[in-house]
Amino acid sequence: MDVAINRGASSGADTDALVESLIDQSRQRSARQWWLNAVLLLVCLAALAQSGFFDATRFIEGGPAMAQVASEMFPPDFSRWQHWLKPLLDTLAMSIAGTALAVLLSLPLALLAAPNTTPNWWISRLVRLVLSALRSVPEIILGILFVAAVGFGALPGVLALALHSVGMVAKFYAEAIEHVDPKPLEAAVAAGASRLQVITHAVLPQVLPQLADITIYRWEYHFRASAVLGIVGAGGIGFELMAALRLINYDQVAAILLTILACVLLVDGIGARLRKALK
Amino acid sequence: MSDIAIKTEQLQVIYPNGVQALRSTNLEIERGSFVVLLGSSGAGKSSLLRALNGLVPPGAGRVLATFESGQQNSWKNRPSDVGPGVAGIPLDISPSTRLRQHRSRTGMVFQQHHLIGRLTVLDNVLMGRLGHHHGWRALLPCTRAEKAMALRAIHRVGLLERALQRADQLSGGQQQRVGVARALVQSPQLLLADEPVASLDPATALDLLGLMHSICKSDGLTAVVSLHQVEYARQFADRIIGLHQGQVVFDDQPQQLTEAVVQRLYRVTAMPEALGSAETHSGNAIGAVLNDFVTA
Repeated sequence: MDVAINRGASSGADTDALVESLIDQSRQRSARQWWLNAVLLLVCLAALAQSGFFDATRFIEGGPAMAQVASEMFPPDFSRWQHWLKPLLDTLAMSIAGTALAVLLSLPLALLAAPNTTPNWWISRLVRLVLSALRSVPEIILGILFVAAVGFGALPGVLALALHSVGMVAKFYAEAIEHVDPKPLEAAVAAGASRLQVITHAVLPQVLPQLADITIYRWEYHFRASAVLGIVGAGGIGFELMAALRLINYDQVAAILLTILACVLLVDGIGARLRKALK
Repeated sequence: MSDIAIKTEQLQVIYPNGVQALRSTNLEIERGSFVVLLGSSGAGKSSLLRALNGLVPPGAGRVLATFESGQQNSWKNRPSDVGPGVAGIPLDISPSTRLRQHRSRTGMVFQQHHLIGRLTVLDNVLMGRLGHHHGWRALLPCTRAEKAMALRAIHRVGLLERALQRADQLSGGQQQRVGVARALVQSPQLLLADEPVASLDPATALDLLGLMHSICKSDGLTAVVSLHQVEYARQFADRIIGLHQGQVVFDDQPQQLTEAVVQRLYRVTAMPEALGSAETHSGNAIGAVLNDFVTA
């Protein structure tokens, strides 16, 4: 060990001094790391306290109520399953339609936002700002607004999903586009390709698998999200869930939740298959 | 009067960071000649090549290109596609519409192939046809005739049975052949190659250069090829242009390229003694990095 350290050094004393100073430096670094961890832990504890997590009485009083709800949920009541088929189909349609609309809007916006395909730096900044704005409005809020605008049903749900997702999907698309290999782009330009041709023939072929990946992930998310959107009246199985909750039919609530869980697993499975096929 | 394919008039290349990559250069490249650019990394070979098809804009001066309309017409029905000017008269390539036309009849082969790995060989080669498509035509798939053309180009570089394989499944030498096919499918009049064999082993390199040379000669193509290996330049070039620190320091037939001239061309990179005369290969790796850096 000593031999390895000393090899190549002009004198042993110099090396010893360097070793000492390196040990000091590493000790300082671990001390800083320790302080950082301590601060992080304190922040987490403060957040829990702020949320009332350490209020023992609420847990003691809430315990029996929770047990009551849980016992009412059991056994789940699947007797109304025939009434859930149509809403489930609606939810599925909403998730697919919402994804399709989101992709349609996202692709051009992503091309405008990505620094290597944007026609102008200012346009890129502006589009990114719009995308952030869309992301920052939760889809449930958009759902409430669209229900007010176009009435109950699947349509407001689709619009809410699509609009909120554009903010996310276009951002991910733009990131994929930003990181394409620039070499084939140069080759296309050298062959006399126009800006549009460079995008269609050199950029998109490179990122297509990633775009498909993002899209499928988003579809899976949309299915889960559209179940929630039903709660504000935007159609689908969420509407049934809300009805069962209002009537305090917790056994039906449990059955619907289990049904949604099964469908989510199914959709995720199909998504995984699709992703593999598109690789 | 000899027939000039492309020429530069007081051409300079200056990068945004102020680096002058190419000092005022006057060159006339004769039609059908196989010209090799020699020089150490950063000597300005890449900049000169990229200025010849406008991939880097000239800082000063201009590039003039002549084209034969007959050759171009064989793939065109609309006379307007042939471009402005009369065949045989050199035109400034800088106006953007003319630049695209110039590029569409100028094939380029890159050091690192510049292929899209996940696309098939055929799809990569079809990219060479982009300059011949216009407007909304660009969004439609390539025609059957163009696919046949691309397959013939792939056949010429000896990869026909691999045409439907992904490009990233091919070896380095094969990928570079795809790069050559992509240039050929443009039915070019001028072929530019930026260190096409720098990432290849010696045997493959010789093979590829021989292929490029024979295609250029049989098709009457004008070629400007930058190389690192002096021996390849001697073997294939009709004319060698030596660059040093952005300046043409040698411009003559290969027989005139003496050892003294070679020493002068490479005096900067020859400095580390450990590398010695075997400088070419390690120099290539550094050159690749430098070129990428300069062109980025």
